[in-house]
Amino acid sequence: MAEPKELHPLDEQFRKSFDELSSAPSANGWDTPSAKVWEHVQENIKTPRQTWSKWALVVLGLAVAILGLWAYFQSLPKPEPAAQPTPELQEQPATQPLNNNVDAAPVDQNGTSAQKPAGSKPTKTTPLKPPPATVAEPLPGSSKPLPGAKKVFPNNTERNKRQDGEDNTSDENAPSKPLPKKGGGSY
Amino acid sequence: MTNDLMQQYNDQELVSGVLRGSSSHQTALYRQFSVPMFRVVLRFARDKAEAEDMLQEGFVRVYRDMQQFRAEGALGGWIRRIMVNTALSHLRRQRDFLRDTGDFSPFENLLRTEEDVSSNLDAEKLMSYLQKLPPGYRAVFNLYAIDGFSHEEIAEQLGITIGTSKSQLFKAREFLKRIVDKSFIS
Repeated sequence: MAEPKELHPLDEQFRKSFDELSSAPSANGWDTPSAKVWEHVQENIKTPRQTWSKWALVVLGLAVAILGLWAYFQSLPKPEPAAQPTPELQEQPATQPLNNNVDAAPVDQNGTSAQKPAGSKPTKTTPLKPPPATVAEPLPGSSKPLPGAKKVFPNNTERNKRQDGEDNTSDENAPSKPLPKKGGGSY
Repeated sequence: MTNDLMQQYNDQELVSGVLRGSSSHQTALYRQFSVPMFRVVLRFARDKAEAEDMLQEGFVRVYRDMQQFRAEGALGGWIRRIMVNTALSHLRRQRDFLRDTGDFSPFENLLRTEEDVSSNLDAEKLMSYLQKLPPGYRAVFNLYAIDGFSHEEIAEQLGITIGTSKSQLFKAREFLKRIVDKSFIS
């Protein structure tokens, strides 16, 4: 337990004298620190902040530069795609079979396997659905082509098939042309 | 720039502004507390130059540790504690901090009463008397008589025994009496 304080009259006078000082500095400036104190304090407390600001400015500048380059390349005109299709695309089939398993059991009309083990329980299998046909016509609900717009086929195979069909029908219906005479040409 | 032109902030505004890194709040805090805190550290220093070193070190700690301030008391009280601790750590770095400066007659008292004499002396004069004390006497007298610490607290803060604190206080009072007496007679 702390013993009670014994204050001397001298103690009281010193305390009273310092407590009664006004908040304003004295006229002769004995209780005013020099300006260099604040300068040194500022140097000490602003150093980390300035360092942080430099790094922040560097990062911000890099981000702006990257964004500017990205915007510039986005604004450049894009080259139009080549009009001639590549040979690889012409040879590709329109659709690919879903099931490539040769040994798979045949599927009946209900979509269940025809070959079942004798003691096995019937299992529910989802019937295989045919793959969705690739159609040139727009699907119901989709937007219609603009009037005068060129009809676009889904792929080259479809287009070739249609062209072949048109050529066959036109050849059958059209009268045959006479062959050029041999030796009659003037070369 | 005078104090009249400075914008006045309350404690909460000062704290939040300093934590944001606002230079205007940092300046306002220094303008508001530099004079009273300079008076605090002047009591522990031997001269104005040493007091300015203590003040600078104390304010750097104030800005650095501002996030530790809890608004349970006044900001001025918190800053004052930092200043006192800074002054004490500054004194502890001195090699002859608690050196005994010889004996003098402890009962020599040529004054009529201490009150009569010291009431005629202004704070500046009393401050100059304090600064003439040896560092150990000065620290113990300040902590006990003016800042209100007990001998137990002083012993803990300065790393001395309670008996040493009491003897340093006794010698400080006698030393001051002699200084004041000489000043009064002259």
